[in-house]
Amino acid sequence: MHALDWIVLITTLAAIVGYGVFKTRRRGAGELLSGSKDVSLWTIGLGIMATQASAITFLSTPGQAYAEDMGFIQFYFGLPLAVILVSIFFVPAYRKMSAITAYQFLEQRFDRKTRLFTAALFLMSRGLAAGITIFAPAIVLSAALGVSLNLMIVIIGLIVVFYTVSGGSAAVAVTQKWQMLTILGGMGIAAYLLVDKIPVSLPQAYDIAGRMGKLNIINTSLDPGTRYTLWSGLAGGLFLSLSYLGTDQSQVQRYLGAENQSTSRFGLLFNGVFKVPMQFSILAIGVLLFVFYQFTQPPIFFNESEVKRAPIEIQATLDQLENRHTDVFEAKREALFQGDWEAVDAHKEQLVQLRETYMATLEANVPNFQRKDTDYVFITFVLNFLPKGLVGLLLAVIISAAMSSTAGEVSALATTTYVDYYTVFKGESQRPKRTIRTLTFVWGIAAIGVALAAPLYENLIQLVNVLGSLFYGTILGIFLVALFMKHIGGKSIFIAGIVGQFVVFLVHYLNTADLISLGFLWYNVIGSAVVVCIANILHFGLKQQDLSS
Amino acid sequence: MTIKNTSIVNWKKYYIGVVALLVAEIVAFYFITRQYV
Repeated sequence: MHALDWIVLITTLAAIVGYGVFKTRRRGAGELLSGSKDVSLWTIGLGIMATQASAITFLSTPGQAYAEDMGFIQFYFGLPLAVILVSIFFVPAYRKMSAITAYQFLEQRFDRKTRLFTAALFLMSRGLAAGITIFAPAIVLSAALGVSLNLMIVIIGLIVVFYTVSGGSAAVAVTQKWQMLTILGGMGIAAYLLVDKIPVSLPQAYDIAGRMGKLNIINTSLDPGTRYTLWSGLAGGLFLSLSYLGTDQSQVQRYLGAENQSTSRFGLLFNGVFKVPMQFSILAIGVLLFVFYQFTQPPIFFNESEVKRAPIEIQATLDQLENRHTDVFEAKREALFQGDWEAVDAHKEQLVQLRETYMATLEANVPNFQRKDTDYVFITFVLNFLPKGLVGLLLAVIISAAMSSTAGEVSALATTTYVDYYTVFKGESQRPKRTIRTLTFVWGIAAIGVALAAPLYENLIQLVNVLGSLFYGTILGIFLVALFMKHIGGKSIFIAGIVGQFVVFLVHYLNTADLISLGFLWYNVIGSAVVVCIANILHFGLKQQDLSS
Repeated sequence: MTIKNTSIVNWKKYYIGVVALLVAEIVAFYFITRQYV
């Protein structure tokens, strides 16, 4: 990478972090826990989006549209509806009792054990996820920049720990606004340059993308095994978003850090309005990348670090396949310029087969070969085709995204540990600022530890992708009963929560063992439904028992 | 911008706006998809 890129990268990151630390340098314990009350709705709205958008969003999402289509957008259709429900029901409930964490509400409504159980589910899922939000981008950035993976994890992790420990939730809120603006600005510039580099007009690019299946956005299939459909997006996405926005402390902390209920609600609505267009724009960048690579030859396999691991004996075979790939690509490009779609399709098929053979050759000769290279599509474009200086800015975008989501999670983990466990068992700390900072430090180091250990577990990334959905259904079920079924008490909901969690684990086991086929978004619906049903059955069962005795 | 007064906000109007935007997006996406299927 050029020296100018390093300067832009380091200056951008240092400016954002320095600003966050400076703005929150003399804050009290309350602001470390729940943020400063004088934040604007822009800070809240952008903060909610920044916590949600991890670095992998910007690395993976364009790659997904490049390799498949834009169907992933359906995953977000439930979010605007969830925003409205959270705004109507959850926000007033939390603000009425001046809650710092969502789980405090459960003790007031049910009992302490339900609060502790739900907070534990959150700490488990988020604790692991925080590590992965560092690990996932670090693996791509380290491969792309040629820096050691562990060093990359430690650098990202320590910067996050530094400003989160220093300024707590208040620093997270302040930095996230600037991180999100950097992210949006950087992605906008990338899109502009991409359009500039495509040798055909935008309507022609649109037509090419459409004819080659990239503009498949809505899938109305009723097959529950299809991961992203309109129905799983609306129903599963609604439940997932409702649980995430309404009960995940990393989100709740952002909008409870507002001066009043209206600012909290506007911050949420901001997210409801801009989330789908933002994700659509990121997917559109992936489609533009696809069109760009119809005219500029892409590498046959995007993860170069995997290709470099190939033994010398297969080099001649790989070179042969690459040369053949170049020839077919040239023929396809010619056919594309002439509008000969039959020839384009035939060459496209040949290219797919060559890539398959190439990957099969690597797989047979490289130990633990990673086939998935879609996360490297966008970063490869950034590193190879953007002008000097902008490469540094785009890398700052990706690292900012990693830092903003990890910081939001670490801060929420520390707040929950302090409010829901420390003060419950040990009472208010004599030196609250020090205790909160220690807890933040411990969670930050734990996240770095999980990220460093992640390569030891082959399926961890896969697990973490579904991790949210594994726990969110149960948590949401508990909160739905708390808000809407006033007749149900602590005993019924506690047992229902345990049963609900067990059922979701069982369904996931059956799914991974290929005994059933179910998109993971449905776990949220199942978990919530089981908790609500079991809680009602137990409630009426216990009532009958009381009556008969 | 910090909103001071809760009572004057007509929330129903905002909620309808968010739902209408989502419906418009889904319809637009549906027609884009149908163009090439």
